[in-house]
Amino acid sequence: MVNTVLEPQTVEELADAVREAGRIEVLGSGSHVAFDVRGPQACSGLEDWSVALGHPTTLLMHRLTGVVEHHPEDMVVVVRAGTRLTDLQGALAERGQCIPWASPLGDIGTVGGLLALGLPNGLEARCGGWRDWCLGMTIVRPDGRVARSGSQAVKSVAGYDVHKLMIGARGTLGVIAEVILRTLPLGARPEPSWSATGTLSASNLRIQRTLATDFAALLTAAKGLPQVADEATSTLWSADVELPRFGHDWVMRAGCGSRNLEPFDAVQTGWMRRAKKLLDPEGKLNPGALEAI
Amino acid sequence: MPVTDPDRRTEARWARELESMLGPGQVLATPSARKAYDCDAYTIDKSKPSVVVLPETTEQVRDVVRWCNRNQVPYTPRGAGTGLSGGALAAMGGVLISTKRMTRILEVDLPNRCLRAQAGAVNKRISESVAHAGLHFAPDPSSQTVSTLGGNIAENSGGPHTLKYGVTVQHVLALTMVDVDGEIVQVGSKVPGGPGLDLLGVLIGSEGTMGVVTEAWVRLTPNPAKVETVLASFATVRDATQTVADIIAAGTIPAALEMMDEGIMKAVSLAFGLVYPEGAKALLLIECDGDPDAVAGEMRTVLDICAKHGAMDVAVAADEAERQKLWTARKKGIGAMGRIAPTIVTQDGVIPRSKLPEMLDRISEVAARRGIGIANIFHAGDGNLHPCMYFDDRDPAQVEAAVAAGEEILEVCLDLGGSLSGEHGIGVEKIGLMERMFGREGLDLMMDVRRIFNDGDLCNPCKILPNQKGCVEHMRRWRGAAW
Ligand SMILES: Cc1cc2nc3c(=O)[nH]c(=O)nc-3n(C[C@H](O)[C@H](O)[C@H](O)COP(=O)(O)OP(=O)(O)OC[C@H]3O[C@@H](n4cnc5c(N)ncnc54)[C@H](O)[C@@H]3O)c2cc1C
Repeated sequence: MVNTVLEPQTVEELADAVREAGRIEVLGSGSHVAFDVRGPQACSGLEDWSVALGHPTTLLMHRLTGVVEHHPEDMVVVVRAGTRLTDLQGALAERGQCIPWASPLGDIGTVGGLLALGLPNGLEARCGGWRDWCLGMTIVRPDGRVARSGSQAVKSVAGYDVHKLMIGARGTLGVIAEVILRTLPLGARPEPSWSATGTLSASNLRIQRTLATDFAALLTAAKGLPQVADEATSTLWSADVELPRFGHDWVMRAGCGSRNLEPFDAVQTGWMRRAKKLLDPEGKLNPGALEAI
Repeated sequence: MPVTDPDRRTEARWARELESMLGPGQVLATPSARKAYDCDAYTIDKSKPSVVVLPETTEQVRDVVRWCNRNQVPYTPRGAGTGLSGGALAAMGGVLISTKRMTRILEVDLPNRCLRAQAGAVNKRISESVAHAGLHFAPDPSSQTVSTLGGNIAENSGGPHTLKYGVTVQHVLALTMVDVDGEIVQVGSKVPGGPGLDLLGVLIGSEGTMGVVTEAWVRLTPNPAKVETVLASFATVRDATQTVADIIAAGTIPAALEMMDEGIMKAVSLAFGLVYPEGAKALLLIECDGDPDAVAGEMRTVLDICAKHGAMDVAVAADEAERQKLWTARKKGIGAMGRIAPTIVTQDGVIPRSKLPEMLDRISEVAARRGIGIANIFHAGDGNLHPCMYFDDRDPAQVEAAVAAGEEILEVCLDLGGSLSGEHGIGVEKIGLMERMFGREGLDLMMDVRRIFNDGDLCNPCKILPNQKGCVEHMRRWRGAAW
């Protein structure tokens, strides 16, 4: 089977591409591939789903870029999903604003990709994360329908917050086309209060978050490892080695994709599978990335 | 199809069966009880439940939901009934599941700053129960002395301090709910942000349409070390709104930033004898809290900006008693309106903050044209308006004018890029405007998302999404039942 590559430049082109295509793998800048199911050594016994399911179409989001609207006085920006975070930060900085995001891996990735992964960040305790900043989205559904969720109002309880479901969904329920985000004045952006030792690598990364009361024990066990530790959210980014687990905690390991969900409870993963069935009944989007649960 | 038009004998049988399942006194089915529960605080639409049940535990809720499923009877969860959009209206009749007796605080985990409570726990009580440890539950809807945790979760409620602290979704870690199949399920975790879909993010704010929440783990927030409160009056609404915009643009995020217009000031003066400067057209209540040094810095910025926009009078509270006094206009403003008009209905649109001056002009234009009074009190910091329409509901023409004015105002909010609701939800009240806001495709997506949790038509039917099976015909009976 030939692997087709699609590179839409507008939401309409994206919708047409998705409608026409069969199975699609959605790629932002590709920087977070390490978190997919086909990463390197980390999760043993993983099938390469692209072989199992046949090479899908690759949907590259890197041309669907740019700020659509920025309203500095309202502190709201509308941005196309393929925009790199660094470019968005640059455009916002010209008007003295920013997205208060700090990742131990740096400002890598596209806005859509970052939302789709929904990884934690180092300013979360003070400024929140994607689910707090994302006010709405334009979503292309697997059949090419274009749906809008949320609004530019900084506070809204109208209808279901469908866009929240897309955050962390790894592009399996819909393709994020445009995103409405709240911004922060640059002057109000705090510095991350984490402590860092050594250098982390995206391909060999483990993120663990515990209850506050378990964090000291985790740090003791992780002593000597390259790491970034954020006490404010009890989050540890470290090289991927075996570390102790604690009640209620969670772990995300690069290269494990949705296998990260395996130790999760059956009820919640059941809902997630149901979400996939209802929103992408033909299993077109990022096949394998959620079904592996 | 659900059983929506039972005869008296069927209803009596339902009550008997439910009572033998739950216990004596846990089922209300008298005509007066059914009437008492025929609406929430949105009183324009009314519909009586067949039976009201008062479960005490998650297991009892589960039994009720299973009973409803077996008998194909619709059910509606209800907290304190302070909802302002008809979310707790038993739109198709059936069983109203009240959490009135589920008020226990079950577990307090101080080191991890969280607490588990039953859904019927009253918001304020949660904060009071941890006050000794210097903590509180941050969402502070003005109804907090009565509204319940379950209602707050269902409506994703906010309050005056939402600007800085966020709404309910930012403060709920996990839920226990009885799903529509009658299973007890847990969603979320005491440690937030884990892998997978943000199910909690969708369930919170789903207005009781995706199951009955019975318990929740909520975050506890440290009480601020220092609180400073300012009340400033302005000669024009524009000066006040420009002050709001400049404070936000300066990167200062006050804990609260509330505005009241002339209509509210008049009502408060009449009701409580408070005096405001001659010629003042708007009041801003600004509160900064947190670390004392940071608060001092924020206060300097706030006072400078107020001065720049010609604030007429600036009062800074010297102590808690004065603070409470400054808050009077904000907290009791709507109540004061109630003293000068037989009926008040509060709307709840949101607009981008910079559109506030334009929006206020449009509101007065609508009021004048429709011949009703509208006063404004709102969360200016996040653009959440509460136009308070006052009229006499004994006159059907005035009720109609108020409903029409409300819709018109919400349409203006949408035209300005805003939202139909910042706090009160859609319920049955704003269902007719949903397509205007989200389009057919947006609503289809929401319907699919509802189906993840609720693929049937028994759990809180006829809410949020228009065109649900059977609802349109049914609506004719309750729509404007109060007219
Ligand atoms: C004077 C006044 C001031 C108000 N101020 C504010 C404010 O500042 N901010 C704000 O956000 N709101 C405000 N409200 C609206 C209202 O108080 C809130 O929406 C509140 O959260 C509703 O809580 P309740 O317990 O009264 O819920 P109810 O009104 O009983 O129910 C509200 C919705 O929640 C659902 N529900 C209730 N319990 C459960 C449960 N256990 N499981 C699933 N679903 C459930 C119901 O089905 C319904 O859809 C105000 C209302 C009044 C009357």
